[in-house]
Amino acid sequence: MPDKKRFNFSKLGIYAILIIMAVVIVFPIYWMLLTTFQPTSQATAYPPALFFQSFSFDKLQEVLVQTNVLKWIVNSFIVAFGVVVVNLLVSVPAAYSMARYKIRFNKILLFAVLITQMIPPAIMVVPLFEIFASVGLNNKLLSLILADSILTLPIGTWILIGFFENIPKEIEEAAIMDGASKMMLFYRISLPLTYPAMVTVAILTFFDAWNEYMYAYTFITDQAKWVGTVGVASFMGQFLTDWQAVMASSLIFSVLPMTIYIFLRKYIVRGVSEGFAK
Amino acid sequence: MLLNKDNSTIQDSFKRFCRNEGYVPYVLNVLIVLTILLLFVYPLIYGILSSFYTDGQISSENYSRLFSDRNFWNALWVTFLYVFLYTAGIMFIGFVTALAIDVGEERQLPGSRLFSSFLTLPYAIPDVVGSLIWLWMMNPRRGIINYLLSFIGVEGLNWLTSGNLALISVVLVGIWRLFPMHTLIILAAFKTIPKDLYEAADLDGASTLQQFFFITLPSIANIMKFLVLLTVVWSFKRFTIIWLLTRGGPMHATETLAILIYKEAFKFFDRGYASAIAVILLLIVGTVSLIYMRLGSKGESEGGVI
Repeated sequence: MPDKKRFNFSKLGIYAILIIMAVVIVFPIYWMLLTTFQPTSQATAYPPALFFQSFSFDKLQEVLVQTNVLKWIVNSFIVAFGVVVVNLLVSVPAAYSMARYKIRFNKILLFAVLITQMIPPAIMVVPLFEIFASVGLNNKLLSLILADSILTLPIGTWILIGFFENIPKEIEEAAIMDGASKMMLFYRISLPLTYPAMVTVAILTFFDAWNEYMYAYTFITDQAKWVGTVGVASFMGQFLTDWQAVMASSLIFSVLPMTIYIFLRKYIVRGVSEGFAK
Repeated sequence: MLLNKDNSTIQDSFKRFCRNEGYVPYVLNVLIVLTILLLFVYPLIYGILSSFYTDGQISSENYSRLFSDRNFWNALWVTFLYVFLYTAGIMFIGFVTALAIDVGEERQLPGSRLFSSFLTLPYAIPDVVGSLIWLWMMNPRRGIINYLLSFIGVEGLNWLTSGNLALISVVLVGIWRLFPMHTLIILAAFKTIPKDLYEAADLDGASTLQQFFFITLPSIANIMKFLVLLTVVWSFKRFTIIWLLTRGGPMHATETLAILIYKEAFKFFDRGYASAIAVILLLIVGTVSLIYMRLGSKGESEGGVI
């Protein structure tokens, strides 16, 4: 029977799994939207309504106007952007070196990079806090850029190494014939070919920096300099939690990564699957 | 004479080094070396050293305190539970979902492509936001989950405030946030299995169940092994979701080593003691990482994994 299918699961079973997982994935996000965009009386009523009864932008507006949420998001953006820049500056040349020159030094270096990936940030937070305080970096966004950079460095380096290794050697060999120096090979020949991989690395790095909470919660105590994660979390638990405000600020903070996700999803998926099993 | 000769060879090799641009790989690495030294090695050593100081004096008091600290032993136990439940859960859910997508795509079932297109959506939701949404949904009195459960006769579960349930809730939210990554990776592993293996098995009359156990599982065993070890290593890092959902409570039921370190350092301001706990965590993670790296160097051809 050549047309026999691979697994004989019933269609029903497959659909059951996919639908359950789809609900699990989407429902929390739907619930955030529902809580945010209903009039306050309905949003937190019990028993809750499962579907929109009527729309209201009141809470969203209130949170935008009366709280610092936009300011915190700008701070998040500064930090995440800074981390992306630092990360690309550091990891692109290093990844090229590790992909092209299989010398002992590079192997040790790669090992060190992979080690940094394994260490829990909880181990680093205490010494980093004291070191930053001693050089006057506490309460500065720069401290977050530096601390986050080392968190995101390994994945970026790893993806870029894979990418550089996939560039055919013939392209560089042709340039060597024309008398290009080794630096020029990197700068003029290989670097322009890496732009798509750099987009992937930039997105993943941006997400990680946007997501970081522990360092931000520890290093920045000045409310005006909080980043989004700390600001949004602060809505919870002061006296009586205003759940609608919590959801509204959560939504505002998620808009940017969700937009990036919707438009650049293929870069994320490629980064994850390539970074893993190349 | 000898010195001169020696000197000249050094100079010669240096000249050759420059002429062949032998310095290029090192120059390209300058920034990454500086970054790792300043932001990783230095803090790490700083942390290890400060674990041996109490009130400015060198002592091993921080370590002897560990042995009699019930919170520490509790955190050790909670960490292992957390790592185990999280790894087992995320592997299982990731695997089942990947299998369903794979079979669905294979049979071209409508909807399975659509499903894989929004699979990674939780990745776009920051940990903090995910935690807050689940905190709201798990609210014992007004949350949607308890409301829906009341229809099947389950009333008033304290998801995050009962000692038995809190750890499970924390694990589940963590899995929700990251299982799509596992699904993607396992799905990619399925795709590497050559189709003709199945065709050959079909000809030999192997049942689908036999095909699953004798072709599919062995083919992806290596990637799965890496994924399990990597998940274990990474699960020691989890902090945000636990911190926001329970802060380690109720009664230390969800207090992992990461949470305990944070509390000792920034709630009780005992940074030396926190550093000692951090060193223990470092040893544990280091051991697991070493196992991982060993396996990595043996099966390198199978897939260079981070």
